[in-house]
Amino acid sequence: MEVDPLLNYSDLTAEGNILVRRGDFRRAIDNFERAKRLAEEMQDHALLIKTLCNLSTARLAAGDIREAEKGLREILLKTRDPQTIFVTSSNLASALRRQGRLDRALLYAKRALRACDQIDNYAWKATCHNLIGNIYMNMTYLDDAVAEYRFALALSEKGGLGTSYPVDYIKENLGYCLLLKKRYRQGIAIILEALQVALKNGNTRCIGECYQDLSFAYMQIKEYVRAREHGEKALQIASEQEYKDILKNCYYLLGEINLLMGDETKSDFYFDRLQEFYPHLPVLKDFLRTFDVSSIINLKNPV
Amino acid sequence: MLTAKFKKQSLLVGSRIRSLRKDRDLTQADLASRIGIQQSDLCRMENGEYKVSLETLFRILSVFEMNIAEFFHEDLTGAIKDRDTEILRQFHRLGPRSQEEILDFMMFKLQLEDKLGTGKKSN
Repeated sequence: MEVDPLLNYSDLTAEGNILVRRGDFRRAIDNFERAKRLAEEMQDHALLIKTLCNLSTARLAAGDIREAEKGLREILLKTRDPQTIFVTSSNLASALRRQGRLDRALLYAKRALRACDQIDNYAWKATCHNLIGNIYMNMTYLDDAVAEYRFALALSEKGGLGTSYPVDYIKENLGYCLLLKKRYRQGIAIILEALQVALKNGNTRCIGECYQDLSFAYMQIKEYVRAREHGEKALQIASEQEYKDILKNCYYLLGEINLLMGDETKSDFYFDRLQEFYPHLPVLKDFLRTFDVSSIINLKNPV
Repeated sequence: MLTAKFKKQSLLVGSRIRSLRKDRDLTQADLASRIGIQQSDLCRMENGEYKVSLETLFRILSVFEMNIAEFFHEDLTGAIKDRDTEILRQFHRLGPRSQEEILDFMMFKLQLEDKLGTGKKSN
């Protein structure tokens, strides 16, 4: 029996969106690639644009930044549809943020926010304020970032989003931002809330980030056993799901935590794993053994 | 190499980066462009106000092509020696009461040496 291509397209897209929210980015990309082929076969330009946007979102999440960015500016220039403007602008903002081009990222994020005014979708508005919060956090404008996250949470509540996506991410970001402001107990409480939401939503990426953040937080308040436990959980998820950024952060955290616990063998093990990512920098391990960099780094800064 | 237990404060990393940059006649703009951050952010980093990723931190190390001995150069030739650091570390492990006792004992010893004329000349 021949399957209706439009129905097939819809199924692939719906499943792809769920996979993105669960942190299964590679499978999501695969779904959207198949949906794109269907849209091309149907010669449906509007569907093709939507699929390119979806594909870009999944690629961004997977860390394929350059690929994710391709074609977005052209779409943005041609479209007048607020939803397309929102998605392309926010994806461009995310891509630029990941490249450390924060001023440009902020510009596109605000463009996305303006497009949001014409769309009655609280989840999108909350996502947009979360993105602006992330950019401010990367710039180390922490008070501004906290204000954006809190506003995003207020919008989520107003929109009746409950504990659905993206509330888990927003809480996790807010919690981490408070850690950077050295408000450790408050930060930990919010990250634990985020973890519960992420576990309920099956959002693997967010779960991994929560464990990573908690590891960092407990290290800062010298609760090393807890710090190590959470770091090991984050590491396991990062290894299974190939979240390279979390993986590197965990090698650093576990190296540092074990060093502070006096277990130099384990510390060496993790610093050695981190060193493998930077073969051109043989001093890295000694540097980390010698300096405490915990208060000058932001684990969520992409570059 | 210095022991792993010798951990410095973060602000010193920022000020050390500033000092290394100046040693190499690099402007903030030069270094910022080489490590891919904005000049204003590098300035804030040197002042301990801007937080960077591990990637950026490692890129800075790479730009300076330095080794740990070089990074420590000032401290090794300066007043702070390993033994001083170890004493300070052990001091911080003590409770407040014990720390006060140590300070009292130091004051006693200083006064005694002063009286006997056996102490080091102060600057």
